[in-house]
Amino acid sequence: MPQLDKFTYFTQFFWLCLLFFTFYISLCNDGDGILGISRILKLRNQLISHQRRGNNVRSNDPNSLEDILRKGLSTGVSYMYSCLFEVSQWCNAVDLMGKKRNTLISCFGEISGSRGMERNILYLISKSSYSTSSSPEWGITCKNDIMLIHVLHGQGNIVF
Amino acid sequence: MITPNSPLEQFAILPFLDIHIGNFFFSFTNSSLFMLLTISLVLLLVHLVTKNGGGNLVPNAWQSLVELIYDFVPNLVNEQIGGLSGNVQQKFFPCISVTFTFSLFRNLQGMIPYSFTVTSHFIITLGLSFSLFIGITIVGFQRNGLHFLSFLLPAGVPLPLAPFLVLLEPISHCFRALSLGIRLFANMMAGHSLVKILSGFAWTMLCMNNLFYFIGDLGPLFIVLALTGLELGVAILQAHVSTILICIYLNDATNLHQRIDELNDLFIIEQKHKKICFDLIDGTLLAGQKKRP
Repeated sequence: MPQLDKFTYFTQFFWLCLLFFTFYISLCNDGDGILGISRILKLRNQLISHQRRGNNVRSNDPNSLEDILRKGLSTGVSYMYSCLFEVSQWCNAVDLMGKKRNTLISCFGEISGSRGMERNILYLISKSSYSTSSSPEWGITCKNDIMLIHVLHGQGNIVF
Repeated sequence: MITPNSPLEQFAILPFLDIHIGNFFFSFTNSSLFMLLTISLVLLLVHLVTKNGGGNLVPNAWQSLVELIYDFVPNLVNEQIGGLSGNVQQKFFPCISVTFTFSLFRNLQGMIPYSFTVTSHFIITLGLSFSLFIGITIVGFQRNGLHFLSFLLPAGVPLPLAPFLVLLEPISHCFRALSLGIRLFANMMAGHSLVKILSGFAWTMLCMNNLFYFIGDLGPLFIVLALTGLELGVAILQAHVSTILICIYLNDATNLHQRIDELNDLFIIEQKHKKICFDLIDGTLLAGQKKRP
């Protein structure tokens, strides 16, 4: 039986090792072979996922810089809008009253008005953010936005 | 005197270039020639396909074929070697991929008529399997220290039975390496011997100048056809099985027979559920956005 010819063992094993290592080194070369294929596959998967999402705000990587930037900008814009709206409402209310009141009473009114403003701002922001994107995952991100607004408003109070 | 042709003659190794160094033969044999041929063909295919940093984004037929062969291994690795970080899995991936490609193409090359089947010699398959198994054991020792010897006693064993199990487990461990090599060798050799015997039978019947034998020849001829198909399937399957077993042994060596397969399955099921939910949400989102003007 040819498989049992002992004199062939060493030569077969030697050539096996040599050719196997040559194969291994050539396939796992950088830029060619296996690494190239894996790179192309990853790129393709990424492009397909981006194409599928289209212009949707939510991307695959929640920690990407773009996402954080977008979230921050939307939070700031909605906060500004709500502040201006409330301030304009309050100014209208003060104008309707007509005369200038005592400064102390006006300060008290300001404080209570600011608290009411805060409540209204939070309500308006939650309403606006729910209306801009109707995804349920935004509920979690909205809580973060609301907390951001808390911080911003608290900073405003400390400054004043 | 008629010297009968043995069906095992096809496995004879014939040297082309004799290179002696003392007692050792480094001859270039027909086995080496066919190994070299197949390796160069595979490397040529892969290099042509992945020329410009991995080929085109939209693959043509050859690239799809190479990617299909490539893509088989990561699924295997991720499934079997569970419980480790992705970085660790990346370390074992090239070796398993190269082993799989090597055995697949060696087996398939043997199906070409008049070529030499390299893996039908047990020295080659045993050499490969033993080397890989020694590597796996070394990796197990490296990763777990002397605690690696704890796999000799599987969990949940009553104490009186323990000494016998400790004696038997190393034998079982060593036998895995042996069985890995012999499985491939036996399949290849048996398949080729069978095809050779039956085709010899069919050819002799054809040449007997008798109408009865000529018509009866259709039987062996058909069986030879069927067997060739079977052998092709067996070639691919054996490469697959060897690779899966190597992954399983690697998993055992690094995770020490721990019962993480259930956890792994639960994890996989959880991931699938999350993916389905997210896809549903995305689908409704897209549908909702399209409805708005």
